Parts: sequence; C-alpha cells; structure tokens
Amino acid sequence: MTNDDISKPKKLEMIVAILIAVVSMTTALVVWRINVVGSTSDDIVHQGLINAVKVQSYDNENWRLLYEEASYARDYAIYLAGVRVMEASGDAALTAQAANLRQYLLPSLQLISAPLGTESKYLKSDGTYDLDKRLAELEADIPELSTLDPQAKFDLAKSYFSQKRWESIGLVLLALSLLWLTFTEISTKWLSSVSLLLGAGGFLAGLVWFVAVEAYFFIGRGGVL
Amino acid sequence: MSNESLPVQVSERWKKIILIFITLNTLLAAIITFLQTDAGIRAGQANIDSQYYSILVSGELIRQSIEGTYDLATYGEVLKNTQGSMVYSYTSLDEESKGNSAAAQQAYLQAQIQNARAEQAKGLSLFYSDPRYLPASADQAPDLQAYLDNQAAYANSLVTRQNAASDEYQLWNRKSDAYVAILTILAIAFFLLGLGQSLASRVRILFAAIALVIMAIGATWCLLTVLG
Repeated sequence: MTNDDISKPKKLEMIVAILIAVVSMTTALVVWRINVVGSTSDDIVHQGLINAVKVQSYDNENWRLLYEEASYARDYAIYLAGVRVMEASGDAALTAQAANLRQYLLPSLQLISAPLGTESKYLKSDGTYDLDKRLAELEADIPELSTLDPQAKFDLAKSYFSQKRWESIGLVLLALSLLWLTFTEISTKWLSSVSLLLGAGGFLAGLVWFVAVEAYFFIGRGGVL
Repeated sequence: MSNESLPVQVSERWKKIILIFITLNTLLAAIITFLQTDAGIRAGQANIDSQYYSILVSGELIRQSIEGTYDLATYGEVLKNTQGSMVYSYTSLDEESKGNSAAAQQAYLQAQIQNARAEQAKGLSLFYSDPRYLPASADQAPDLQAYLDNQAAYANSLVTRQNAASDEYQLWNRKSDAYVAILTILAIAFFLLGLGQSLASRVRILFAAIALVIMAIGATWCLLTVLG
C-alpha cells in the first residue's frame, strides 16, 4: 500500500467531516428561520385577533349610538305628528297643549336625537331617517377603524404558515442529507460513495428548496421577510 | 473461506441490515415530522378561524339585539297608537250615541292625534316598509317570524362556521398529538437500533427485531392517522 492509497480515504473522511459540519450549520440555520417564520405568523395572528376585538368594539358602539339617536328621532317624529294634528284641530286646549309641546318637549327630543334628528341630510324623501348614511359617518369618524383589518392580518399569517410548511420539507431533506453523510463515515467501499452522493445531493436539494421557498414568499409579500 | 471468518461476515451483514432499518426509521421520522408540522399548522389556522368567528358572532348578537330593540319598539309605537286611536274612536261613537257631542268631539280629536302618531310610526317602521315583512292585508300584523328568522340567519351561519372550524381544529389537533406520540415511538426504535449496532452478539438481532416491530406499529399508526 502506497502513501497515496492511504491519503485518499483520509481526504474523503475530511471532506465528509466538513460537509457534515456545513449541513449541520445549515440545518440549524433553517430550524432558526422556520421558528422565526412561525413566531412571526403567531404575532400576526395575535394582532389580527386584537384588531378583530377592537373592530367589534367600535362597531358595537357605533350601532348603539346610531339606534340611540334613531330612537330619539323616532320619538320626536311621532310626537311632532301628534302635535301637528293638535295644531290643526281648532280646539283651544289642544292648540295650547301643542304650543307647549313645541316649546318644551320637542326641542329636547330633537336635541338628544342629534345629529340624526336635526340635520336634514339624514332625512329621506319618504320622511324616514337615513341610518346607513349616519352609520357610514360614524365609522368614518374613527380613523383607526380603516387601519384595523383582521382578515388582512389572518391572510398574511396564512402566508407565513404556508412558508413554514414548505420550509419544513427543506428541513427534512437536510436531515436526510445529514443521515447519509453520517453513513458515509461509517460505511466502506462503494457504499460510502453512494452515501456521499446521496448526502451531498440531499444537501443541495434541501438548500435550493429552502432558498426557493424563501424567495417565493419574499416576492409574494412584496419584499417582506 | 476459513471457519473463523464466517461469524464476522454474519455480524457485518446484520450491521448493514440495521443500518438500512435506521435509514428507514429516519425516513419515516422525517415524513411524520412534516405531517406533524402540517397538522399543527392546520390546527392553528382552524383555531384562529374558530376564535375569529366567535368574535364576529358576539358582535352580531349585540348588533341584532340593538337593532331588534329599535325595530320592535317602533312597531310597539304603531300598535300602542293604533289601539289608542281605536279606543278613542269607539269612545267618540259611544259619546255621540249618548248625545254628548262635546265629549264625542274631544275623543274624536284624540283619536286623530293617536292615528297621526301611529301613521308616523308606521312610516318609520321596517315592518311597513320592507316588502319581506309587510302585512298581507291592512288588518293583519307584519310577518314578525320572517323578521326574527332573518335577524338570526347571519348569526346562525356564523355559529355554524365557528362550529365547523372548531371541529376542524379538534381533528387536526388530535392528529398533531398522534404524530408526536408516533415520533416518540420512533425515537425508541432509534435507541434500540443504535444499541443493536453497538453490540456484537446475537442480542443485536433481538434489538433489531423489536425495533422493527416498533417501526411497524409507528408506520401503521401513522397510516391510520393520515386516513382518519
């Protein structure tokens, strides 16, 4: 046996050892990245749920305020209809009663129904109130409401969930590559060459897969990691 | 071939077989790891949907309650004033028949006032403007049942979706738990195969056989979980 014959297996062992170290570090990096992606998706979901509760709270308050105004406006309109008949009745007592109602009760009712009951823009041609218009204005009065979009947050979180799922395939490939490289260390003859080939191939496949998945979702999210 | 070399070859052959088992076990573990990740993600997403629908349902119930209170109170105004108007009309006719014209006139005017109020309330009421709830004829009541059904429809559909998401969460969560248990079993198989590889006696075969049985159990459980 010559010195060259001895040095060849030693060189191979060295290459395999370096490869194992590289694959191990890459695997650790991929595991870290998958955890970051998972953590990001969890954070976004958390924010999405908070936003959903906030939106619901704003909506509830808007509905409450809208129907509070609508109730007073309705009471005002009903009283006014009665007052008009009193005024037109020609009866002195009823006319006096109508005058008092107009002076004391109706302004108070109208005041507490404001702005729905006081502003003409909410009054429709058929005499009813435009509740949709008032609700839209109540919503517009809360600038934060337009920025709180829980569904958008959940969609974004789903993108991170998908990324995590696809990247875990890359992790499996890297783990298999590590296994084959370990076999190369302990196997002999042709088996070691096959193991090395499978290990190196698995590593490359896993790396390319991981980079491709990262690039796909990075571009898909408009340049957001 | 010498007599001494035979046990060595047999020993090496078993080493290689165990090596193949380890590879198979690793492959199985890798597949199950992916399945577990996938199941965990699906369970997480279903859980989010379930929570989101719960929030929407609670909001919808509040909205429905506020809107319903207003609509029914407006309808109450219609009923109250219509009945008041009728009572005053009857009173007016009654007083008229008794020859009490002044009282009859007073009651008549009150009936007119109440009637005007009832008509105004009708104009503001959903039950007299929305074709879905309009009374079939002038002397009939609006279709309140249709109103209640429509009011509850959206909340009910949200509850249905929430229940479906919750069921989906339970399903994937159970699968995720099962995959973790299978991975634990495969870890035991790894341990036994590793132990078998380090031993140089027939015990190696025993360890390999037990590990193989465990791997088979893990694979079967995995298959049943996937199909379940």
